[in-house]
Amino acid sequence: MLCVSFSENSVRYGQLIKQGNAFTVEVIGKRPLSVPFNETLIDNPNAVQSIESVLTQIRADLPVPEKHLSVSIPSAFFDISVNDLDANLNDDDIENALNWASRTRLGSIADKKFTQHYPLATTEQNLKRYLSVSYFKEVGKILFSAAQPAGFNIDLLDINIFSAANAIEQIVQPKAKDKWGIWLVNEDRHSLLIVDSGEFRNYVEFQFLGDSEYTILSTAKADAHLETVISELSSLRSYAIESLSSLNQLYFYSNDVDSDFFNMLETYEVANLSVVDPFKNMKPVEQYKNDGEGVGAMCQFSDVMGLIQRRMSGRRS
Amino acid sequence: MIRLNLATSPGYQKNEILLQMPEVEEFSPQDKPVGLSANVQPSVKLDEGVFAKAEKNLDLIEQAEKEEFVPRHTSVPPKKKPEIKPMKSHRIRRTVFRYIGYLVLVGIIAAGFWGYRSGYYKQVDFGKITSFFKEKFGRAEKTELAGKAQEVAESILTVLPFAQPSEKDEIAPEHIQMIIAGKNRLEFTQKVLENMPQNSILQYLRAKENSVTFIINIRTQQECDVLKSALEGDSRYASTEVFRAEPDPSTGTHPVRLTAILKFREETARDGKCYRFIDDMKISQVVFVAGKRSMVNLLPMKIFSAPSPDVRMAQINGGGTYATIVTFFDELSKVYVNYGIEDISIHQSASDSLQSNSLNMIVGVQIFPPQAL
Repeated sequence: MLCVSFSENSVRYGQLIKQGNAFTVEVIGKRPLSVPFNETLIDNPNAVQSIESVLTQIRADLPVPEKHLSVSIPSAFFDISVNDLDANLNDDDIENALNWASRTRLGSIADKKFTQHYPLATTEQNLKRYLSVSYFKEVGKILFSAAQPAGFNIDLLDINIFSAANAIEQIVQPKAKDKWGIWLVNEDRHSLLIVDSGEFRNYVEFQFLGDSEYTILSTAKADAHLETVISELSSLRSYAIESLSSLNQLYFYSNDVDSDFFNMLETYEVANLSVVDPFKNMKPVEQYKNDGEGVGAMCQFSDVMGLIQRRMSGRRS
Repeated sequence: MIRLNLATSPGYQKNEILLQMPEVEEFSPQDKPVGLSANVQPSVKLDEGVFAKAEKNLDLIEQAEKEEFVPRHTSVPPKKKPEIKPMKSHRIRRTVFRYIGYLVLVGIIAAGFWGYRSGYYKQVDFGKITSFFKEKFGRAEKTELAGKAQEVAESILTVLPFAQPSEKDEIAPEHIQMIIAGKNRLEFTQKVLENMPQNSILQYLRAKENSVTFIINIRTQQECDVLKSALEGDSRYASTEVFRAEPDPSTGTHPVRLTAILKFREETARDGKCYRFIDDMKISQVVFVAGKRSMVNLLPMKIFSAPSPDVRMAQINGGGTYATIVTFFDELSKVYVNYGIEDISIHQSASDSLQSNSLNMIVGVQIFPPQAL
């Protein structure tokens, strides 16, 4: 199984093989992209060719021949929302209600989007909670069109930060009742996913402005707690604190190992703010080391490791 | 936690889809593929039925083939500036320096003559320039090679800002914008260094794009406030992304650690100076003279690729005190030629104050081609 995670300027990948009951991560690597993997991808006539080319290069470097491909891509390609419905609805009504909510949220572009709804566990008695995720079909078409000529079938498509959260969950194994988060640190735009009692709670994109100001760009669900978390993160830029009070634990990582903010954050001594080595429990046979060998460099593979661990666990892949 | 698979069917995902990890059959190292080929078959047991849903989803996605893309209404990722990656080829570097070494003697003699012939001095007092060169080269005849190089570069530093470039010496407007952006980077970094408390310990400073990042150890919290006020008063200052002081018991005499990321304006509207193309050798000389004038210690400038129509990368390595580096940056920013400052890194290894210790400096430089190329 080849697992690849695309970010704006590079693709990071790893190959998992199973022999008998044993799993091995054969290789972890990274390659630059000739076409930026961002919102301009869809309008770029070279997008398919570029992705096909890099997948073909990766394929040639794999120690074991491979056909199956798991992919994760940046969350900026997705519209992510949480919807609460009456607990007494039947399955048909649930689907109709969720489709209606998505159409209302997306407006005239709803038909151009591929949308899925996932049930979420909740402790609240009188409602059922669902996560709705949609992306432009054109993005899927580009990925599938590039993968097939390169000799791969895509059988798993995920969102980078969700994959990274899956990796953290497996590696760290937070306590059952913990409220924890994973923070994807970028120079200009940050993403944060919050998990509460083992279940997805919220997702937010935000920017830091001057001094201690910030702006929330999008959220899966309006939530006062979310404001508290972002405000506390923003205050880290001005004040030293012993630990974050809004979360039990916050893990951060970055796909940009050159990010000043990320590197500075690594120097902060906050008790419940940390970077996790995605290879803590499972060392690859062949490891990419061009960006360094420390945890700060390795954490860029968190999403790749999340895809790998999903294939190992075999759950809802 | 929830696990998504957006490559399956659309709609409500009521049931989990369980996928088994395919097992590798009798793998040996000789199986390693050399490339995509019809003959290369995966050596895994594949249950095609397992992936039926994914294949079905492909059909759904392909149905959208003729639909027009409409950008999403939610926010999009920021556009990053295209980065020009340095060509780190030691072979090319060695060749370039060998080439420069062979040509340096001929070049120095030719430079003065070439400058005279190419009309550098048309808009200045010709007699003054002639006497300037006579004086410089008169002295150069009696000195060693390094002295000659310095004098030619001095003449470039002195004359160029007032010269009217000929067509072959012009630089493309987009490159001039990058040069000006580099000047802003250099000058704001200079401003930061100037205002750092004199007795502070600089752990790290880096300037790239429109931000300067630094970590210093200082004696008191009040020094942070003074520094912040001074920088916020600069006309180039844009915003403070990080400015955080915290206790740092590891450095006894300087118990406060300040980490900061400051943004500055990337304005390109500056004075209408003439920017002129000069060759690699002269650029090296200009940097060398700027180093001499400011009394920083410099290694020979590294240029990572041979002259070409592309933007090329180079690097200045050296060291000095806080004061001499500030002067060096000032000297570099006074020159109006075809190089731009891409990034700056400064660090101090010894744990003592800025005043008394040497700082190590690496300056990333872009070298721009003449517009005629």
